Amino acid sequence: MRRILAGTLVSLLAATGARADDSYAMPPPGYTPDMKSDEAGMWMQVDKLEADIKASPARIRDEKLNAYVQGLVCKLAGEYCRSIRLYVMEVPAFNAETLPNGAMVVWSGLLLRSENEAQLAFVLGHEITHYLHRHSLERMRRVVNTSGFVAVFSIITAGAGVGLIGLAANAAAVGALYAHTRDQERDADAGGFAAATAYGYDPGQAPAIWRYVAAETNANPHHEHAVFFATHPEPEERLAAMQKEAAAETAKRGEWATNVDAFHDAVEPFLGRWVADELARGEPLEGVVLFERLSANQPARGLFRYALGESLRKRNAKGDAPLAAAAYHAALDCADAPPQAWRGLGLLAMKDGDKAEAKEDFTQYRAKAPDADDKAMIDFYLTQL
Amino acid sequence: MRLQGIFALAALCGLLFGCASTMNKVAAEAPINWSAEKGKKVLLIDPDVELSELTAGGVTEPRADWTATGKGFIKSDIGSTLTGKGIDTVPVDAVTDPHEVQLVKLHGAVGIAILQNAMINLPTKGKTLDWTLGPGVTALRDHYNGDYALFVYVRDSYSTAGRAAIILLGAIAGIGIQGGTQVGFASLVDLRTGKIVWFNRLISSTGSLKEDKPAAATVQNLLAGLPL
Repeated sequence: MRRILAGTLVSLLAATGARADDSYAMPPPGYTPDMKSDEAGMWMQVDKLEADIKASPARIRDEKLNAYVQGLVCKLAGEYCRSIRLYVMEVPAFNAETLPNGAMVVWSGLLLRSENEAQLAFVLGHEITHYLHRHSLERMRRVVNTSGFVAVFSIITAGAGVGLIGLAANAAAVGALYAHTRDQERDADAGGFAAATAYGYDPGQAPAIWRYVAAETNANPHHEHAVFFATHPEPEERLAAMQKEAAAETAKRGEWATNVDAFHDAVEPFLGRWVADELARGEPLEGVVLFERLSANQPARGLFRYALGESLRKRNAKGDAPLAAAAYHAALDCADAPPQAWRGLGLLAMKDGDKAEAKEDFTQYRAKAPDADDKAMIDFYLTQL
Repeated sequence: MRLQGIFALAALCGLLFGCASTMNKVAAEAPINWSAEKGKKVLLIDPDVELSELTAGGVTEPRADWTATGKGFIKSDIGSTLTGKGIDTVPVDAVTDPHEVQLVKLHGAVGIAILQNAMINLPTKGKTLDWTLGPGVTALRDHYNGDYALFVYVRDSYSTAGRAAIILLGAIAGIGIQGGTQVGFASLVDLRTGKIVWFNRLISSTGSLKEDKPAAATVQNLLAGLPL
């Protein structure tokens, strides 16, 4: 019996491990995989996904913004410019992704969090490298091969009454998958860095954006780290490596670009919506970190100060209420003075039991935003004060 | 409860003995009637088909070539079946209008809900087929000029040599392991009301969409009980 099992194991491992391939570099532009290949199957699935993305109501179709981001993609992707199809989506949260078939998705949350064109370029370069090095294909083959091994091993060990060893094999296999992914992330970091610095983008902006994203993520203990950092190398290790590389690269020449003005021109018309999306996401712990940074960068913009006030009020940690009130007042001192800051002040006062103040704030809000969506709610509050 | 038993039996039958099981329902108050201005035309919405390999570890790996072949068979076999009933098929291959895209997605969500309802009867639904996509579907009727639309969803997997060996190995060790299966559904929607007038669920551990004749048999199973 044991010999039969062992013999089968050997032939199975041979069958499952037969497709190792060393070269994953993307073939020249215009490439489509052989219809019989696993890669074609993968493309078939992401083609469907792309059709969904294409027709999605969340897609931002604004020509100017698309042309701006597409221009950056083209710089970074070089001869593969035409192989990549860009979709800018109105989704809060930091993310960009290039699907194996060349569809590239950029979330508005990434644009809201980038401080300048250089930071955006490093992130896009990172994602384009995943595509050009066909990391998804490599990962899919790794999953198929590893899970084959685990299935065999679990059965053999279960049959032989050593289930625990099977568990250990499972854990080791899962670990191997993640380690492999971390290698890919390092590779993507390096590729993105090389592509963006070749165009003169300030190397220091690479660790700056990743460090910021790590800080925002870490601010929320309940954040599903799996979304972003589970598949990325240990943030500290990765950031330290990037910082070192950036310092060495910076020293190589005198002038580096961030193109901050071009970036602000491109995103300006959308900031109101994107901030509202971010607040609606309901992650005030992250929101505080985000809007503190945006307020510090653009102190004269009431929108960001109001959003900071909202995040602080909703975070509701000890001492947050006065900070939120200060942020709302600062927002109202700005030229764009968002009327919702009055609502925020009213809600704070109402919670504090200060009826007169709340009444005054809500009245201001109703006067400044007579057609607000929540006017019925505010009118109800006014009857209670 | 009884349906649940039937489903369990079907699944067991599929897994152990290799056979096909279908279960179809017709809406109670939805007699088929064709409007004079549209004639006997059925829209065939681009079938959502995926053929894949079931690898040794149980990962399904989609196959583009098999899918193209299988989808081709499904479309032509449905076409000829309907022609045999004196009905014209209007193929709707690529939906791009945002509203129509949402209708197709809505059908996907409703179809999966009906599939689940076939296993566990929702207490408030009873055993009748009582589902609708809503009157928004008239957009499809106006655009493609037909009273009914047929939606088809099929996932078909085939064991690799490695998976077959695992199944054998499992059997020796006394563990039942699933091989390739065909799962799918077809549903007929009245484009005047949005009502799903007929629904059929298919589960099979045999059959192939990679070849002409077995594919025709699968389509016959899929269309079993179609009230047209």
